[in-house]
Amino acid sequence: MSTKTPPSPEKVLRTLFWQLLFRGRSAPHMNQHRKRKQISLTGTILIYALFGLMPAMGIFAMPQLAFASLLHSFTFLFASLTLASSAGTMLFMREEAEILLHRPIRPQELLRAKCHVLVKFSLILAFALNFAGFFTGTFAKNGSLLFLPAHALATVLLMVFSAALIVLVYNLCLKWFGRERFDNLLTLLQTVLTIVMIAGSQLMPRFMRMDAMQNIDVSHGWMPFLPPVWFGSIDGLLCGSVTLAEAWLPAALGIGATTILVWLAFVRLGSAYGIGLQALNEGAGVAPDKPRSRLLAKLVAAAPLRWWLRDPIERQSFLLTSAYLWRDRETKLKLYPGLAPMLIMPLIMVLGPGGRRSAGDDGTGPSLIMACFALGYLGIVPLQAMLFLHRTEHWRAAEVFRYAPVPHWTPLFHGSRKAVLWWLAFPVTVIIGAIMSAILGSPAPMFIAAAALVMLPVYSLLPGVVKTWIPLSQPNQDQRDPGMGCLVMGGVVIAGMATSGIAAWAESYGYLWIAVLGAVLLSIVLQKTFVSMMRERVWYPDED
Amino acid sequence: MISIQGLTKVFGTQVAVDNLSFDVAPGTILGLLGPNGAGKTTTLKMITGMLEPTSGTAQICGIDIVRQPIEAKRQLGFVPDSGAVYEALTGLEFLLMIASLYGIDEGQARMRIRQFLDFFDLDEKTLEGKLLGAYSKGMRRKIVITAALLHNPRVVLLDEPLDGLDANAAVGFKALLETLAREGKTIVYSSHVLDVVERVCNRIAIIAQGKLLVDGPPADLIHQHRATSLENLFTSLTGLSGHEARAEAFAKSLLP
Repeated sequence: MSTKTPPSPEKVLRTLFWQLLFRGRSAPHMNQHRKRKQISLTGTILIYALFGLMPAMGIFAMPQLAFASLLHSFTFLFASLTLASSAGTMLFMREEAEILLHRPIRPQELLRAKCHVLVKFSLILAFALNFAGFFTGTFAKNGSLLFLPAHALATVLLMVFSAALIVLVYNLCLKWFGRERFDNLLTLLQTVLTIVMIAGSQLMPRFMRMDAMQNIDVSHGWMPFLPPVWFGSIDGLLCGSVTLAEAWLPAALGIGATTILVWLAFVRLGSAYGIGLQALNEGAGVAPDKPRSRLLAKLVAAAPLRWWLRDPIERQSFLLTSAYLWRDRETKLKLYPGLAPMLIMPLIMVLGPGGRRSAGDDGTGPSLIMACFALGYLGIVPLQAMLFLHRTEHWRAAEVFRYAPVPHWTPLFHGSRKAVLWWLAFPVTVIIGAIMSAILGSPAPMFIAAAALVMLPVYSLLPGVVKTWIPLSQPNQDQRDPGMGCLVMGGVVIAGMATSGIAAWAESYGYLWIAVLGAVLLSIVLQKTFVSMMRERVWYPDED
Repeated sequence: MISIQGLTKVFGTQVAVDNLSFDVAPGTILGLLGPNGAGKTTTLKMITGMLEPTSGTAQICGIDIVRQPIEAKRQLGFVPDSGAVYEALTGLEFLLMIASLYGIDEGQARMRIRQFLDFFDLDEKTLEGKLLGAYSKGMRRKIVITAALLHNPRVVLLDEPLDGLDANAAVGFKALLETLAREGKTIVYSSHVLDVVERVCNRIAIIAQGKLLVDGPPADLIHQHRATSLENLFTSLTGLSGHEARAEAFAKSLLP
């Protein structure tokens, strides 16, 4: 029997949080997780390394300082934002207070251990992202081999700066806004971060071509106040590619800001971390404010929802799903950042080189084709939302649907999918259609959105056609058939684009109303077919 | 031992625990009783250092929990009613992690875990191979109890510890508590199950709205208040008199 000396509590916690970062909660066996961890980490590193080729290849005409700043921009955008989105769930795990705060550890140790893990993870990502850049950087104008250690050091500093900034922001949010608003802020923050990452990936190549980057002057105008320039200047000073007179201000800002943030986040607010963690746990059972729940009940009892939700079980399932869409922290944190790419991608497609309106295009040319592709893409919004709403930490509560005298699972499914359509899919399609119309200066995208809209109920039926679907009934990480999910999603994207494409084509010949009418008829026929297929399936409540 | 003096916790305008004072000597099993929202869990959380008291002090074996939290926490083991664990760890990983936090070396920790494994009839394969998220409620409760007692604490605080345990495990655990008390441990047992508390505890404290109503051996309290049983004493002190008539009226109102 081994008798190893016990490691320090902080080291134990670091090991713990590193394990938790890669593991789900409910998959039953250890080996599945070991495999998943390896695949997930290796896959992420490879993707980041490949993505890092983009800035690394842009080196050859750039001075080393500009190149280093560019690499730090990429690192800040991708590694730091990944860090930010992982940090929320790791820093504030519900029930963690009950597990750890009565043990002989200090809140500061807990916070330090988590930050250590987050920085380690983000450094792996950052180094993968900078991997190609480390080598190509030595070939930049004024470049030298010193770039390798200098850039490594500045990257570490950048990640420490990012981690401290993120911890500080989260701690301040919890301190100032309380638990209820904190959950909403966390969701908003993660959604915004996802959008920023996607938009950033589109803007970066253009940023690389800007004159300001090609002929960088770190002491001029707004340049010294950009965080990537701070750390680029540290690179430059360590390599000797810039003089102290040129780069002292941004370098000093970088070191100063990192020091102050580290002090504020880990020393000044570190002791308050335990209090925040406990507050998060205490608020777990807080009931929603009455006016909001009453409003929801009133809304469901009034037309048009009363007409749409005639079955009482369907109505209750709608209310349950709506409550989770609006109130449940875990659902919001998964759902909204998960849907963000689907909301931003259509706009990027329209704003991209193929989608922008050229001179002479009246909004019905190539730009409209891109718009119809973008609108077709929105067909996966209900599918993605249904995927997230199938799984929850509270999956055991769905037992009630199995022992209650519910004749069939379909009313539960329909209530849930109608909530998704009502709160998410319909409004999103209308809003994106309106935005596209505004961008293209033509009402055509709004009309195409109408054709896309009538097909959304059909797509929302697909999870139930594939298998028995009960809201919030499956544990997280129990992904039984991801292949089928991808196949269905791919099919929906193709069908959505085809519908929008036909509508756009009909619109260009002045027959849009026929296309919309055709879509309505097709939608009705498919809905009736799918609903009857589901109804005919015998349900054994314990086997779904 | 435990000593709390003038312990108070205020959340906003709500006084959850109001000037609570009592001592619990070694060898005592104190049953902490009270209706829902009486302040039992808040009291336990303040004693364990999870919540900072608004005023008053709590000492574990003479060590102030606010001033010397690490030293005080080393002396205590706590079973929270939530039964929270890291669901992504296996039972063994979780227990080894907890043991390390108390400075127990791995070899010794494994030996102690095996002892608890035998006591609770837990399967070693499950403990090593299955993640806690896949455990049944009873098995999770056994892991949480093991995690509280693994470092052999001098003070044990239990919040609804039998919740989810099967009858055999519950009987065994109650016997274990009595043995631990005989060996000089200080135990605080918070529960709603009055007959278990009456059987296990040699002293009872009833609190309501954060205030201590009575404190003493169960037989003495029943005698002093001329009650017929602990249940009778509890309901008369916490204001739920005439519950039989109320239940009958309610049941009749449900009938068509």
